[in-house]
Amino acid sequence: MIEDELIKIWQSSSNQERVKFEKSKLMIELQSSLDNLNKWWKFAVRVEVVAAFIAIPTFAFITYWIPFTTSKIASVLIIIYVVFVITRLTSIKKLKPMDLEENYLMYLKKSKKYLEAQGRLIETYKYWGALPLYPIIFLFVFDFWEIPSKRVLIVILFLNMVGMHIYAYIIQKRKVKKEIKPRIKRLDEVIQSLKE
Amino acid sequence: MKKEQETIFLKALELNQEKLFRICSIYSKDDEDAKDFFQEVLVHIWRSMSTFKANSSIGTWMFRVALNVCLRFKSKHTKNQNRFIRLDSITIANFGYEENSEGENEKLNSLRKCVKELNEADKAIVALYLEGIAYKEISSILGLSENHIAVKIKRIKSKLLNCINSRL
Repeated sequence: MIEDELIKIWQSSSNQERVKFEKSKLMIELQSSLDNLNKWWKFAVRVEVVAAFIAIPTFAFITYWIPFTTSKIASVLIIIYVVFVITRLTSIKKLKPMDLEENYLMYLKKSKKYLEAQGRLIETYKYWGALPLYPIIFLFVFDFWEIPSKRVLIVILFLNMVGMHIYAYIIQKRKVKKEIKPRIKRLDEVIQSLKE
Repeated sequence: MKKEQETIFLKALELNQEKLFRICSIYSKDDEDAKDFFQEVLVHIWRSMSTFKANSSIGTWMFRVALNVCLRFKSKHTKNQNRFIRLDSITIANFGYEENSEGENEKLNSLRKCVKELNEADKAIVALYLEGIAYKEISSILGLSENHIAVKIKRIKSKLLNCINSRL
């Protein structure tokens, strides 16, 4: 077989499979798929904004309403913490390669950079997301501890928080190991292979 | 404006649909998979239409988007089949093997299998080469120099020919 035959053979597959589409229906379907994609994106953004809008006024109110000084300080710290966490989570989205018109190599590099940042963010969540919350919560419940009837509730809430963090840690670790790292490895291989 | 975009899109699609489908088929496991990729590619091409600046031909631009979409969705595909877009207006008609001779079909099947055995980078290059796209355009789609593309294509062709000959 000669080299030029390759193209001819490849393109002969059109004799076997032909793409057919109904123009008017296709445009309607494309637009509706696009609307659904946009809807989902807006929903995801809204969830974050709503979470922030609930948490910030709630703790602002608690700061005003709660009688204990340590709890007031903790409430302010929680507001700062929420803003910090949301900022970190949204900052990663800026790295997501959205421009499909980039050349392939650039797109691969950007995808790799995004996944690496995502992996780093997840792996370090315990330091910047989970651990800072404990001293703040400790400060928040410090004066409540003096009220014997509240102690059981505090212990339950604390154990709940620890449990949730452990669960989140395991899930995130698995995500990094099974999804993010293999994808980074694959992207790296493609980039290297293209450059060779 | 939107009507104009729609006309350009449909015209370009008519011209390049087979090529785009063949590119998608390189990244897919089977025919169903290729249809999923193809539909996903179309939605993303239409989504990006407003940003097409005519710096390159619309065909080249479509191939660039197609490669990036295939790359983006390949890893997600096996995880969640339901997330793929379904467009009922598109059908892929199978004409079977009647129009090609038996020998040609055998060669085509071998070529398809051999292409699928290539690594991801080689697949991207060969997908464009086999569609008869010029080296200059391939280099602009992939972000590599023309010389580099020429060397790579030479190597890939030799790999493909060895593979096909061993199968025939």
